[in-house]
Amino acid sequence: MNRKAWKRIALVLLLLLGSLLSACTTNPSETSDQEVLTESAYLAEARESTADEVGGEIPLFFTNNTATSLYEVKRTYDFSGRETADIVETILYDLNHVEILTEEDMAELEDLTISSIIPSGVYSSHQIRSEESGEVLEMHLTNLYYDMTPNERLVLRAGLSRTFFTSGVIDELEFWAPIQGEESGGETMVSSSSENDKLIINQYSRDFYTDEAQVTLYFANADGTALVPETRTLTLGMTDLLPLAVVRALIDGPQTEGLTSVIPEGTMIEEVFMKDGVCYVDLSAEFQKNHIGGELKENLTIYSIVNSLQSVDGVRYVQFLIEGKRVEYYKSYTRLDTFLTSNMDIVEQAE
Amino acid sequence: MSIIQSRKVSWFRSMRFRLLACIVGIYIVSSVVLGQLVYHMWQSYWTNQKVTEISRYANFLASDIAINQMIAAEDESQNLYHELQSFSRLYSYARIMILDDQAMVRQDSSQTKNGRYIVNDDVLMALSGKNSIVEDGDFVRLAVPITDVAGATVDGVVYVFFSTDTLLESLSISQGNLALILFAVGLVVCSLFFVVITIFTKPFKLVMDWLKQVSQGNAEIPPALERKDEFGAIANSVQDVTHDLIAIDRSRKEFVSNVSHELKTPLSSIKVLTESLLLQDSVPEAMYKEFLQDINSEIDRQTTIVNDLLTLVRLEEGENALNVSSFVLNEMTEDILKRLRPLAEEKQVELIIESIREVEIEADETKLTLALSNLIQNGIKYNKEGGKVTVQIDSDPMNAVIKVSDTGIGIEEEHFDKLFQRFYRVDKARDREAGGSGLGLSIVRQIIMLHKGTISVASTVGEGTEFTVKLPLIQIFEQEDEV
Repeated sequence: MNRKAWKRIALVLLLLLGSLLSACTTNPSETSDQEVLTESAYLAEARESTADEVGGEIPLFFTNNTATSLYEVKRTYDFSGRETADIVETILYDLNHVEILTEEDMAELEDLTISSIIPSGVYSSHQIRSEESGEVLEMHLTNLYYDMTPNERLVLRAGLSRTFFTSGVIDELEFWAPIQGEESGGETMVSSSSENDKLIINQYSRDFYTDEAQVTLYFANADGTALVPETRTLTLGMTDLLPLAVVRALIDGPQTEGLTSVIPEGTMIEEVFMKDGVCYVDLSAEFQKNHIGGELKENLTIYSIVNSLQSVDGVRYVQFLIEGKRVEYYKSYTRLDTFLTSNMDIVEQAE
Repeated sequence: MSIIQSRKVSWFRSMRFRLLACIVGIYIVSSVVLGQLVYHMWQSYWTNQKVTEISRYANFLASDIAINQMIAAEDESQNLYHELQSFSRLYSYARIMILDDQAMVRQDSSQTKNGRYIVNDDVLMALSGKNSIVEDGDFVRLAVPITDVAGATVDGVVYVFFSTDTLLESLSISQGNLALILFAVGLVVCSLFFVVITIFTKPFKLVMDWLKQVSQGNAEIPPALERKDEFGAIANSVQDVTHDLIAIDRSRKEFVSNVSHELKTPLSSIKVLTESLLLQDSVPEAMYKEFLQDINSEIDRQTTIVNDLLTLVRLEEGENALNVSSFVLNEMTEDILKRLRPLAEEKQVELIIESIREVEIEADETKLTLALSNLIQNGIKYNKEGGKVTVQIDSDPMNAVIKVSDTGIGIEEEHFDKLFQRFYRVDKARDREAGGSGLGLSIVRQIIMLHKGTISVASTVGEGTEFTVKLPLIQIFEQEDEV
């Protein structure tokens, strides 16, 4: 057997393996280079008022010719010593004129059909009035507003809102259009937005949609005689259901000293889902098998789950299933074949 | 014969190890390849199924909401909620949000994003009336417009997020386990294979052991190797080669003994003659002359033997390639006869040439001359006084046919097949008298064989002998294989 031949064979095999393994690694996420924020951080950042410094970086928004994208371009302004009306004029002017975009901006945007978020002919005039809540910018639009598609309207509203609320000089936005059918010139407010709105622009990352929810979990006290509530903030993954997260947290156990979990060892969640106000909890056979039994203990276990779930919005009843099947009794005492509601009697009364 | 050395085969160089390494390598690569292929095909198929299924549900939901006008009215939130719940099956791997035409979240399967305004490409695309599906790594975002019954306006969006990496979860087999299974199977396969090749390579050892025996002269094939497969073939070939080698060795010994015997004879004569001269005190001059003449002819004899031997050996070793040229056989024969006429006249033997036809032949003229001369000389030597030697030249379409016949003493049939052997003498005494080295016919035969011809003999005792030589008219040179 030729040495050379062996080396060649080995090389070919290695190459084959290598190329396959590399082809198998999943493609990196498109949005991997996007900064990942939690919602609260995002909203806080969005609301950051720059007007205190009278100027600063303000996002301007543009769109494409089909209004299916909202492009953000940051611009630095110096508003020192200028009136609100003046500032608004400046910003509106820039928003109306795509020409202000530099080559750099265009290169980043990668779209050659850039247009203003304010379609031509839609804008009529604007006005600023002062209210208790703050400064209100009234955008007066023409009849052409009614010809706008929903996405065009959304683009206009969302873009203007984010831009002006970030500038700090405006606190509310109102859109006025002529009353349809009336020729008298009367106007009606067709939409509005406030700086308190939770406006989320161009976020795709699943981490952004992770949520936090506050729930009340019930665990047994040290003697095992009653349930004790524990308030906890749960972090939910994007596709996590709150009820599921609650049951999972109960299985994981308490975080407070002195409390114990009453869920039997080895219990696995088959499924947890909600329908018409009923939360169905389908658990594995271990839930039933591995429980010691006894009236008090059975109740503690069952109601730790039921009471915790009822703290979730929308849960009116809880129905247990063991591996997909309805059972009459949990062990010997607690009935499981009915819709259960919370039992506060076995909850330790606060002193 | 040398004894075959016991050679140790290092394990890493052995065939078994290499075969095993090969099979392990092939198995690993092919199972990895196959595994990955299958996994990815499956993943891709499953992902497509999932996307289709969820897409379908999302469209259902959108239509349902539209039909029931649930999104237009503000107070329909309960109904919307129920609507969402009726698709509860999807919740284990999907997040569903229902947005209105202002992109505000009216319902959220996780109940946490209600009231947010979500503005991005997906939502904008859906609001413009088109479905939007984006695959982002192992996550898919699907946005479906809720169009009113007339299909005129878009009232909202069904926005769905779902993960496609739960394939293996649903299988309860992780990639790690899959690899483990493949590995376990691989171990079993390789062990089995190892056993199989051990069985198959056993005969090698048998052959090795047997060859040791062969080197000691025992070439009989043991029963274990009497097989119809390649090993049996090797064993048989080895046996044939061994027999040939033994035969060759024997003939070599014989040759050496023959040669030394032949050379010794003239030397002993010379010794005797010389000694007798030396022992006598006074030897007449005439006697000196006579004895010296005898010595001289013995020396000549020896020289002839040595020369013929050399010629023969060279011919046999194939050192002389044929120097082929085209010439007329008849003319060559006439030249030979002319040259040998003095010798023939001495014995009063008549030389006759019978040319049936003129034969042109492609051959080595020098060698053929030698061969024919030898035959004719033999014809002259072993002839009666007054006899004749006839050379007949003929041809058939393929070969030249030369017959050399004499009217000599003849040769008994029992000598025919040994006639062409080296130093073979029919009648030792008479041959010695006739002179010659005893190699003449061997040389003739070798030359004929080099030309790929044949020679045969027929004889009647007391009447004569006829040698028939057939030579191909054209020499075809076989192409030697490229080395």
